[in-house]
Amino acid sequence: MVAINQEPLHVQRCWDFSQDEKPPYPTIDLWLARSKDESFVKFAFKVDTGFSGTASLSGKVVDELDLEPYGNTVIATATDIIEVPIYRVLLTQEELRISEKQVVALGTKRCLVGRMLLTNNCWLLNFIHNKFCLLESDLRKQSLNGAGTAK
Amino acid sequence: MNDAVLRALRTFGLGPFKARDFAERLGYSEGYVRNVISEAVASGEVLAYVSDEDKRVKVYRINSSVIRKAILKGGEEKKNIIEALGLEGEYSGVYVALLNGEVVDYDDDLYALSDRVFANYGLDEVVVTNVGVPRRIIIMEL
Repeated sequence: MVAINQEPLHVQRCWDFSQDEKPPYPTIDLWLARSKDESFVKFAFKVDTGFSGTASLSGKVVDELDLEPYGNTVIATATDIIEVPIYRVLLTQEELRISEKQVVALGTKRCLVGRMLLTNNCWLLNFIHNKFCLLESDLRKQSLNGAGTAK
Repeated sequence: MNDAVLRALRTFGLGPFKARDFAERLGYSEGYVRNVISEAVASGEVLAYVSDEDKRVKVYRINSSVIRKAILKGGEEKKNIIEALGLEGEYSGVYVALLNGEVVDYDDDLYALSDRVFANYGLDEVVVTNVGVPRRIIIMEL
């Protein structure tokens, strides 16, 4: 258990770093579907804390979900300004309490998750065991689960 | 999109025009304009109608669905369309949602605009894009 601002935090869930690139990147799993009629498929997303958006999808994921772009935009990367397609996709992530939410996803080389999904949560980057973990306080867990309102 | 058709889009927008107006306003010969229009009609870039005023005269219009396709292609094609639609002044630095070639919504924030587009329009009709470099450009590190 760790504490931030004297609030004890528990490890809620950990994901292994991805091993397909060197150095290994922290990842989290997201469940995606094109529409509510289709089943959700799990994909591992690399964590990019310098990404100001929600998520980006690799070409392989776009093909697998059979997504069509509804537009495009330029984005700023570390080295350049590039144009990328934009997709609408449904996203589920139980640990973050996101269920079938329609989100904007960019089309990029890798699957990335950005700050808009990471924000308002406490994360632990564990380089000893190569794990990326979601931390949660009892207080926050209770408030998110609606505890204290049903007595 | 053919250069002459792009010039027609700049001049007439999505409104109707006659072959003669096209030739006169853009300084082309009528023969060249007939060829260009005939090719553009065959490719679907331009739609042809019979004039209400004179059944012997054909009236043309840029097919708004090609605007969506050209924007989705990106690159120069998108740049040319945005310039031809005259979006650069009023909408420079923001994201726009276009439906049938008309701006139906815009925002500094791509995510906020997209949420409204998801709620209000069919995604196979509308197209969302940037005009110039967005003031709130999305940044990515990896």
